[in-house]
Amino acid sequence: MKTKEIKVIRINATKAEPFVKAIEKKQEFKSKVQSGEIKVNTKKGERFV
Amino acid sequence: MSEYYKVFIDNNETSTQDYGFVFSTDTDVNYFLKFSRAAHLFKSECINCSGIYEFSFFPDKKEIKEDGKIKQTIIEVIKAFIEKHSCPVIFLCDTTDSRGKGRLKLFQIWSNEYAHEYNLGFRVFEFDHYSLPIGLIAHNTDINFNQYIEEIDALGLG
Repeated sequence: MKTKEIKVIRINATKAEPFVKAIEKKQEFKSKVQSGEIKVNTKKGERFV
Repeated sequence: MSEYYKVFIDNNETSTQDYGFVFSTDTDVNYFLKFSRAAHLFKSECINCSGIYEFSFFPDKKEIKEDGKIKQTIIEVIKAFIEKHSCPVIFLCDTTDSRGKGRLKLFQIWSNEYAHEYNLGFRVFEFDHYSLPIGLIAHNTDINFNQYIEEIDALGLG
C-alpha cells in the first residue's frame, strides 16, 4: 500500500516544549498502567464500539 | 466473529476535558485509551485548534502477542470518537523505545485505509537530536484541516 510522505520539520527546543511535556506525561501514565499503579478499569461501563 | 473487541467507556477517566475507554483482549491484555484536549500544543490564536484531542493508548502488559483485532479496535475507537465529537485527533508517537517512527508508519497505514473518509497529516519534528513523529486525523468534512496543518508547520524554523 502506498503511504503519504512524511514531512520533517526542524523546530527549536522552546517550541518543542509543550510536545515534550505531552510525551513525558504519556510515558508517566504508561509506566503507571504497566506497573499496576493505575488499574485499567475492567468494570465495564457503557459500550462505546 | 467480531473483527474488533468490545470497547467500554471508563467513567473514572472521563471528565469534561478527557475521555477514557477500555477493552480486554482474548489473551487478557487490558487496554486503556485516552483522548485529552490538545489545545496547549497550539498557539492560543488558533481558535479552531482548541477542539483537537490528543489520543493515547496504553496496554497493561509490556509484551503483546500480535493480534489484528487490537489494531482494528483502536481504529474503530478513533473513528467513533471523531464522529461523535466532530473533532480532529492528534497522535504523538513516543520514540523513547525507538519504536516511534514504526508506530507512526503503522498509524499511517491504518489511516490510509480510511483516506476516503478522513484527511490525514503526518509530520516529524526534529529538535536537539530528538525526533517526534506526529499524526493528525480529521473527518474530510472538517473545513479547518488545512489550518491545523499550517499551525503545525508554522512551528518550523523556516
